[in-house]
Formats: sequence, structure tokens, C-alpha cells
Amino acid sequence: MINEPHTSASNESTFFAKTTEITDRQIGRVIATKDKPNTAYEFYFWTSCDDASVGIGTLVVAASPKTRAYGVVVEGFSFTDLESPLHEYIGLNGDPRMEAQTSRPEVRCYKAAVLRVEPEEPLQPVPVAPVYLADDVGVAKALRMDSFQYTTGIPVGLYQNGDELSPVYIDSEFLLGPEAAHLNVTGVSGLATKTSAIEFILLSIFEHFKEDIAVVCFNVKGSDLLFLDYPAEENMLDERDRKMHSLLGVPCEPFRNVKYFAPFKPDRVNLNTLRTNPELVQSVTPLSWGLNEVLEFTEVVLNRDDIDAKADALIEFIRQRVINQTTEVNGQQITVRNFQDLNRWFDLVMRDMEENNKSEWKTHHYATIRKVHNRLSNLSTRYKGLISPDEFVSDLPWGRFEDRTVYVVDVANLEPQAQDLVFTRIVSELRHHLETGKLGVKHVIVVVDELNKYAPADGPDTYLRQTLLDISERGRYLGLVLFSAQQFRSQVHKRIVGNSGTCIYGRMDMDELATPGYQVLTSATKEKLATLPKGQLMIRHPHFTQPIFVKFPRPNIMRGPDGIRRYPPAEDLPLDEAVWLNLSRLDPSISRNEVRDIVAETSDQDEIIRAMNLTLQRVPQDPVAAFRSAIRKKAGVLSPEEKPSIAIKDAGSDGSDPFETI
Amino acid sequence: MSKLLRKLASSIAHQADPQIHVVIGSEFSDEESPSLVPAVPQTASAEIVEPSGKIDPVPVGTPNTSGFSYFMDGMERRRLVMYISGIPVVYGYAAAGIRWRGADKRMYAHGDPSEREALFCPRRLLEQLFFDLDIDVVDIEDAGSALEDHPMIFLEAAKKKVSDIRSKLEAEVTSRWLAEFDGSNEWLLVDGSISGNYDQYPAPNIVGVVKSHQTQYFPIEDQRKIQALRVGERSGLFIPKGRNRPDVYSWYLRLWPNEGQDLHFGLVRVEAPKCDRTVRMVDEISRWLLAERAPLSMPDSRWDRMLYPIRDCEQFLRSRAPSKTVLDAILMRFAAGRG
Repeated sequence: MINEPHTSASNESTFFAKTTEITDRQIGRVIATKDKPNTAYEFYFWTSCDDASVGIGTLVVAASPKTRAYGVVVEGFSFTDLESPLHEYIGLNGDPRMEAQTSRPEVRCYKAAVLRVEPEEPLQPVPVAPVYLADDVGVAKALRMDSFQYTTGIPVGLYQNGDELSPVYIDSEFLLGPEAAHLNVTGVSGLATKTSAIEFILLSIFEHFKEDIAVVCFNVKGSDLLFLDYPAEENMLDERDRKMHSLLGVPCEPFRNVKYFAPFKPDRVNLNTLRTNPELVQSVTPLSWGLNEVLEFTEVVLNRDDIDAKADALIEFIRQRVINQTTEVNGQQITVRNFQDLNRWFDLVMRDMEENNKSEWKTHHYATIRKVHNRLSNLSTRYKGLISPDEFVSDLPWGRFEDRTVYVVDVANLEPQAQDLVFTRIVSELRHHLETGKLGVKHVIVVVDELNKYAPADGPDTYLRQTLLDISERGRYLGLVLFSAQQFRSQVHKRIVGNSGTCIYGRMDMDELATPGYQVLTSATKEKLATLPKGQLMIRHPHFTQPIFVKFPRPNIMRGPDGIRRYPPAEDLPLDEAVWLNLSRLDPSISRNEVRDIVAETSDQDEIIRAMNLTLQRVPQDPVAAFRSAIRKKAGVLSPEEKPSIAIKDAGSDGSDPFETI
Repeated sequence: MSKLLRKLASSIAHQADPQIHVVIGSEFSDEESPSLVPAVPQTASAEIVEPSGKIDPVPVGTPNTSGFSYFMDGMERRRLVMYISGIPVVYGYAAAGIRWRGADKRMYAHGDPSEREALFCPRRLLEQLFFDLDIDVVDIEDAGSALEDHPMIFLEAAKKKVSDIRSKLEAEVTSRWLAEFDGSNEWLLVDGSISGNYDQYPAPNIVGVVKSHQTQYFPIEDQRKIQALRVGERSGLFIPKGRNRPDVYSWYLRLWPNEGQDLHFGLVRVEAPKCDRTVRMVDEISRWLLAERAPLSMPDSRWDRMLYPIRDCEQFLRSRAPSKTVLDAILMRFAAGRG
């Protein structure tokens, strides 16, 4: 605030010191020439060529008696009184090794983009005035953080303010909704900046956001997000990192509550994740979906060409009239609860048509039924490990999401279409539960890396891309927020990055910076982005009228490669070991030998897995007994699909029994 | 700057005197050449003191490092700002200052420059008007000798007075420096002839570089030898005569080759105190001056004779001098207030 106007320019420094309590921070003076006049949006100032405190991205204040203009340095120039290189050549006799007796005066000039002017009206060109480095108060004012810093501020990094560091906050109402939402991080791969930045911001949100919130992370590659609950290796963090955590008010520790989910491998007993070390695997919950969970999203996993109107109608019929209901087909009662039941139902329907020579069944043509049967029955085979053929379901805790908890879904080893299914269904469920207020938390952040791959600017329109678009366009009203990352922002769907209220840029590739999306940046800013050191970022946020460079600490979280080295993944276990390990989650004291004996007594591996899953789902008091009783004995009991087909023969003259089983 | 004109404007703006005619928009007259240089070409005599007794070229050796670390220059600006009852009133500004070269080879101001701004007019004709005003007015007429009442004569007299003030400022600044650095190893290089009270020291560390050759000290035969000096050659040492200042030793030095140029291109006349040490150091001082050729003082049109630190000094003084725009603005306000 400008308290009172002063009339004398000699009072400038005093005035500034009074209002912001800083002194000796003057680093330059505003200049205005015909060639480079000051405007309301930018101004120029010069500094001593020895001043090391000013550079691209520095926040400065031009303070005149009546006005203060906050700006960020976006361009720098340095020049001497040398008009032509030829003059230097002549003066030094053409010998570059020769030293001139006098150094030419060198002046450093900078262009600053105006962030804020006080008073804001009338909007006038920046006056010629002394220029100061912004202090903490100046930084807060320049970035308009003074209006939200103590209410909805989320510290995201530190601005290097001379020798000191000033916290930079972003407004949670513009990061997590409802005003604006979403975060997008861009940067070259290999520096761990994108992942570290997102991790640190999530930690900061957990510490400073005032409402309940959970995070769903999709681990899409390697082991990036598989050790979020473990501290970084020794020596990974230094005192500087700890001090930065302290300045930002974020505990220097890993996430306290992390729950991991991973599908099974095709063997359906070993988890398809790198977090399988015996010390850690207990914390991983299988992700296994059955017919109920998948049928709603068949469009995602079936080929688009297969799902014509006829097939869609049949699938809808099955969804509405068959699933979880007891129906009668061809005189037989059948209840469809899983893919095995569904296969039996299809068999009955087709047998009914074949036996009765019908080309249609309930208006659905035989060919359509066969095609849908073929496609659906394939799902549990194609996505073996994720889609369970039986009624075993292990899913995220819908309705019981916990505050300040990270749910990591490891889809790194799934094929793309299965990843699509996981993304689409989980996001759909999140949206559904948030809409009805029954998720358990009010806000959820969905973290997706490799957005280039999942939501490309061009290429086929996938359900996943539609899902991500849906979050980015409507999620903020529901409390569903997308934190995304990619290497090339220019290659991501425009509406997704365009809807990201807050954008973060790490070190960038020059080719990427040459794309049209970066035209608003000055060449100096681009140069800085191209050489940005690890641990530094550029942030764009609705409250900041210009991008701001900040430093952020390495989060105290174990890096994926370190985690793999310290907790190497276990080899795939044989069936009996895997069964014992899975059951021991229910009761760690159960006998390995007892489980091994039961497995050895049963020759049908699918039956063992089904029984194991059933036991895991029921959570009985005596897991071993429940497991034993869950195994269906095969003695004479055949399931419908195992029943042999019946051939009818004429009663021949040989008098043999015409009802012979073949 | 210019406080003087502001004060004048605020003091007499209310006086509805139809005889005051404000002149707006006229250009400054800058005096670029050293003030001690005669305005018109002339000849003078000289006494050769070179041990050989000749003015003939002497190679000074290969330049290495300059021994100068302080540099002095002066400047002046004058401008006709008004007529009062037909009498021209000239605004004049003069300054002299010293810059020093640090160990980092950068130039810094050695204290504040000496400056003076004043109105120049015949006091006897305008005494009434300026009597009560607290402003600096310099009488362009010397005591007891009235000029003819002709505006052009008044203007010429004002020009001389401004130059005199500049010379005086230069002499004061030089004298202060000599007192401050007496006995030290520091050397002062001044633009033009050396001035101040150098004669009061046995061996003052001061050297002057004269870029103008308005005065010719030798007959044409010797002058040809001077004009034929090659880069790195100096003339024989001599004492210029016909000056109303204490004697100095002087010599010519070629800084840049003059092939295809004027004969005087790259030729300077050096002045140093008249003492034995100058005789001993004449070659060394010449080498210092040759070393000062880099960096080049381009884009100055006199770059062949203008040494860079002197130009730096000049630029420094110019940056502090009142600009035409500022004076125009003050005069316009003055004129408007009177309208």
C-alpha cells in the first residue's frame, strides 16, 4: 500500500524502507529511452556489472514516491561504448592477447515484465525510479500472494531472493478447484525433476491444504512411484534440502499413508509389480476385477469395429437383464456372476438356438451373439491377471478413501489396452463416488505421467484420452484434479494442458521450446529453461502474471532405482508358495506346510486360485480351513461347460443303447 | 542542473517586462578544444633542449604499460538564452574533473568535478535586473574597460569568459590533485596544456597532451621533420616560448600512422614540467602515451589523438552537464509565465 505521496525524489529510499522494511537492496535504476521506453507492462533498468544478484527471473521493485512497480526480469543486455569490433581490432593491433590499458565501461541493462503496480489504477508506464531486489514482502506482493498466502496458500518452492530464499505459494483454490484446477509438469526425462516436483507438491498439499484429500497415482513406468513410503537413501538429501523443507513448512519425510495396488501376472497368483520384495509385498493389494466391474467398460477393451449397434444392444441387454440375475435359458435356470457363468449362459443361449433352429434369440441375431460371446469370453484370457474369470474381486476401497493417503495403482507392466481399462474405470469410479459424495474424501488428485502417450494431441481418440479430457474440463467442480506430466507439452492434447491452471516447466528441450506454445516466453527465458539445473522450475499460475523461477527441495522419498536396489523384486513364486503368501496376509501364523499339502492334493490349478481368491475375499477367521472347504471336489460334479455334448443316435438294429455318451 | 535558470525563471517570471526576450531552441556551443589553445593559427618560438640540440626524430621504444592512473579534462557549454533590452544574456556552464583508473582497469570518478554555471552579460547594463537575485552573474567586461554596445561583441566576450572559467576550474582541479598526490608515484595526464601551480613543485607527476596544432613553434624545415615522425617516434625536447605561464618541456609524438591522412593525423604535442626528471623520462612517458592508444576512443572524430581515458573523462563531464532539452523546458516555462 502506498501510505502517503511524497513530493521529493530524495525520499524514495526512505519511503521504500519504511513500507517494506528493507534497506540496502537497491540494485539499479529504471531507464527509459526513445528506443526502449517504459510501458505499463515492462520497464528497463541498469545495474552495476558486478552485481551478481540480478538475473533472468529475478523479482525487482521499481519504487518511486507515488508508485511501486513489481517486475520479473525477462531479458538482459550488456554493452560497452565499443561501436564496432573493428575499433577493438585496430586498438589492439589485431592481437587479441594484447591487454588494453583501460577497460571499457560495461553496463548491464535488464528488461522486466511488470507483475503488479501499486496503486493499480490508473495504469501508467513505470516511472524512472530506483530499483530494488524484492524481499519476502515484495515477493508476496509481486506474485499477489498476499491475498491468499495465509489462507489457501500451498508452498511450492523457494524464490532465490539475493542471498535469501523466499517461499512461493500457489492458491489451492486455483490448484485444486473450484476456481481453476489441475497441474501440468513439462520437462526432459532423466532428471527426476517432474516426479520430484509432483511428489513435493503433493507433500505440501497434504501439509497445508485444509480439507480432506487423497491421491491416486498411476505408476506407468518402472518403479517411479513404488517407494513413496520410504525415505530417500542416505546422502541423497543435503542440509540445503532440509532447510528448504523447513522454510516451506513441509516435513522432510516420505508419505505416511500409501496403499499399493497391482494386478496379478497371468498366473493369477504373483503380483505384476516390481514391489514384490518379501518385505514389501504385504502392502500391495491385488487389483482384480470381475464381470461386474468390467462389463460397463467393454467399449474400452473391445475393438471399436466389434462394437456396432447390434453388439452394443446385446451387451446392454446382458448388463441389464442377465448380470447378477437368475434367468432361464433353454429351460435351465442360470445365475451369471462372473465370466465363467457368462460363458455358460452364452452356451445355453446358443444351444437353444441351434437345437430349435432359431436365427434370433430375443431379437439378437445368432452371429451377433456368437461375436459378443467370442469377444467377451476372450477378456478374461487376454487380461488374465487383471480380469478374474471367477467372482474374485479386489479393488480400490471405494467409499472408504482415507484423508492424506496415496493410492498407487501399478499399471506399468500392463498392456496399453489394459492400462486404458484401469485408468478409465478408476477415474470413472472416482467421479461417480465424488458426485454422490460417497468416496470418503472430498478431493482426489489423479497423477498421470507420460501424458504424451495417454492424451496425445493427435492420434486415435481413445477412451483414456476422453477420460483425461473429462477430468480436465469438469473435474474441478467435483473435486477431481489431474496432476499430469510429460516430456513434450506441445504433443499433449491442447484442451488438457489448456485447462491446467498451474503449469510447471523443468529443463526443456530447445526443439520443444521452438514450438508455438512457447512464443510468449522471451528468448532469455527460453535459454534459461533449456539449461535449468536440477531442482529448479518455472511456474505459471493464475495469480502470477509472468512465469516465475523457483527452487524446490528433493523430497525425502526413495527413488525407484534405489528402491529396486534395496528391495529387489522377488522371483515368481510357485503356486503353493504364492497361495501361502497370499493367505498369510489374512493370518501371518498359518502353516506353510498345511497350505502346501492342500495345494498338492488338488490337481486343478484354477480351482486352487479360485479357492484362494474366495478365501481372501471372505476374510475368514480360519483362512486355511476356509481355503480347504472352498476347493470344489471334482468327484462326479461337472460344471455345465464341462458337460459333454449329447449325440442322439437312432435305435439301431443292433439294439444298442441310443443314448450313449460319446 | 540548471538550478540557476530555474531560480532565474521563478524570480523574474512575474516581472512583466516587455524588454525581456527569451530565446528558445538555440543550440549549445560546446568548446571541444583545450581552452589554452589559441583560436586562430599562429606561430611562436621554441628553445630546443634536447641533448643533441636537434628536433630530429627519436625512437621511444616499445610501449608496454602506462604509468598514468589519473586523468583530467574540462568542458564548457554556452547558449544565448535571452535578450534584455537588446543586451544578450548567455548561459554558460563549465566543469573540470578527474577520473582515476583502478587496478581493475576501470575508470572511476576522483571526487566530484568542479562545476560552475552562470549568466554572462555586461553587468553595467543589467545590474538593476539581477541585483537582488541570488544567482551567479559574470560580468563580461573587465574592470575599467567597457565594451562597445554591440550584441555580437558581447557574445564574443561571453564566450571568452566562459572559457576563462573553464581554464580556471581546470587549474584549480589540477592544483588540488598536485597537492593531494605530492610525493606519490601516481601520475596525472591532462587534456591539453598543463595548468595549475605545477611550477611550485620540483618534479610534479603531471603530463599534458595537446591535440591541436594551431601554434607552430618551428620553421618549416624543422616542422617537416615533425610532420614526418613515424609511429613510436618523438621529436627533440623543446621549451615553447611566448606563453604567459611557467615554462614547460614539450615534444611531439606520433601515435598513429598518417599514411593517406592529414599530416597531423595521430600527432600530439606533449607537455611536462620543466625539470631534469622530464628529460630522463621523456621516452618512458612517450611509451606510456603510446600504450594508452588501446582501447581506441572511437567513435570520437579525434580518435587519432584523443586518448581513451581522456575521452572517458569528457563523457563523464558531459553526462553531468545540463542538456538542451532541460534548458529548453525551463526557458519555455519562463516564456510562458511571462506571456
